[in-house]
Amino acid sequence: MRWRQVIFLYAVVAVLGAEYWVFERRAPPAAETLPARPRLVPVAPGAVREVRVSRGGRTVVSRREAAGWAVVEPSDAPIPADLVAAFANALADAEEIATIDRADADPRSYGLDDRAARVEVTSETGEHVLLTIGDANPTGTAVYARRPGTSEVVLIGRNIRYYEDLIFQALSPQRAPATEGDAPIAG
Amino acid sequence: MAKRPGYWLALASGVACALAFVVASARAEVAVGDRITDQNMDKVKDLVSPGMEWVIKHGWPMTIGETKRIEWPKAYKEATEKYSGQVKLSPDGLKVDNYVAGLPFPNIDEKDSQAAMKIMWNWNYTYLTTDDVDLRNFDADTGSIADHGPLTVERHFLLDHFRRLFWNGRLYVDPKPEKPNPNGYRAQQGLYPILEPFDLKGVGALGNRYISSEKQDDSWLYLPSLRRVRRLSTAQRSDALFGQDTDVDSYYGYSGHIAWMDFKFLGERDLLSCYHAKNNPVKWHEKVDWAFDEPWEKRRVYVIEGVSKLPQYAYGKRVIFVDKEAWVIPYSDIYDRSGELWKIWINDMSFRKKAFDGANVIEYPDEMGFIPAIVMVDMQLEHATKASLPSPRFPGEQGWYFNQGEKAGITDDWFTVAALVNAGH
Repeated sequence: MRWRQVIFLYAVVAVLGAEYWVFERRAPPAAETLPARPRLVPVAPGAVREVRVSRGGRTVVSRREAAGWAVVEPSDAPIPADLVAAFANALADAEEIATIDRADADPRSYGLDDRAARVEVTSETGEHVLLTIGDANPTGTAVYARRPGTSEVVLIGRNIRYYEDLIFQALSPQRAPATEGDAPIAG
Repeated sequence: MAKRPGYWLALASGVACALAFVVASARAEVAVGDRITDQNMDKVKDLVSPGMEWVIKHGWPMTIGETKRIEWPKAYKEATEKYSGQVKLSPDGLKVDNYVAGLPFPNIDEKDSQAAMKIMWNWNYTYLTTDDVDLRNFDADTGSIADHGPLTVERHFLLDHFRRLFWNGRLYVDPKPEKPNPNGYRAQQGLYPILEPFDLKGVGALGNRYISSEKQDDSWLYLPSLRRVRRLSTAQRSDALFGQDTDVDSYYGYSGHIAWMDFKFLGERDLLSCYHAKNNPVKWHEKVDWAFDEPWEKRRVYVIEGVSKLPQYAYGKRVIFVDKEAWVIPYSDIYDRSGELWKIWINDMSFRKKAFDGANVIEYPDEMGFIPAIVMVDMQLEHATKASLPSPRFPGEQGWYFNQGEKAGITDDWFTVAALVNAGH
């Protein structure tokens, strides 16, 4: 190999090195991430102390105690402790999926009138958060909600409404079992 | 003596409450033969889940049928009577000690803090399949669904086999109740090969489940186009692959390991369920062809919430309904991480001794849980996958073969990666 070829190869390597240094070495742009959705209840899931939910003239109050969640009102209500725990967790985890209406919306349009459920969440520090939970949206996957004192109607997950339904269904008088499945060994 | 105003107020409140109760009761009353559509679905509002409510609103027809008793297979019932007394659940709920066969926990005390785990372990050891099952020649369509209209087929899948082999709790096929089990398998499962569409021909999946809760599943996916076997994580069992809507963990209503979810007992309720489908193979509704048109009967179910312990799991939570008598799942709702309703898995079940009348059709001594169809709907995308089990393209195909062992091709060799790759070539 002649010395001119060696110089040429060195020059090529230098140009490639410069190209890498100037253009390629730069860190790739950070992937775009969606902004986190705001939480409906500004209380950490572990910091909820009490949940009071009222609907159709009936009220259920549940409280976190040392052994877990318990229904304190009505006393002896046949509501599983796990259900009130799941409801409290669902409330604390709930995200505002979308803001639907910012103006002074007609509450009836969203089921946020007297048909709505009123929920009061109390934190360990005594902070109260009031919510109104209304109808399901047209796609049936979420429900409308509003914090009193604000004009915004937001969408939250349908799951909360379902657990609320289960709580009030548990309060209703027990219907006869659909099947005679209560024998120790069924089938 | 003049009565106090409080008396009238109390009386009025009492009457209002009674009326509200009567109205609520009337609304929930359905009669055999009632035809439920989106026009009168208030009748069943308290008897279906939000997911089922969604599909009815979008055109799924429902006929109310008579509630019939579901008999457990005799051997399963005897095993439950013989062994359930010795079964213990560990304090963390993750380990079932002294289990041999049958239902591990026949007596559920709803006040028991471990009720949810016991119900789910019962589901894990359900009698739907105790030894093995071979599902043959089934197909699936996936596509967007029209409101009160048909499914626009985007992809059509045809599959050769779905097989499961259980290693413990066996009742019919020797060796029983447990195969010699140095690996500690609870079950092995394979879904392969895919025959259609052409670009997925030869694709298949395989998995091992262990008795020990400390071991994650082994899961493999074979992709002939890449000539690669990919290993899947446990969380990926919740992924819907190849543009369709189902995921392995949703099979049967829930097929994940019991120990990988935090389960909560949400109570009991009446629920309309499809356990006595008349048609096998499935008959899809003419207009809303992603819905099977069968009788739905009122059943008593446990309601269970399942939240995955795996951070990469696709779903926020599942709400699983477990039949109190039959110990099967009629359907389950799935929510995303913001609590928005996402999907529903619906089983079309038919408890019967024979797939259908005909020559050479296996007659079982007990009624078996045939599942002529399943539907999984993605409510957020208005998209669905419906599977015919078996496909109507194979007249005379029984579809489900229960507890047939090697006669149905259920051999240990079939559940190996080598067999998966060979079948895909």
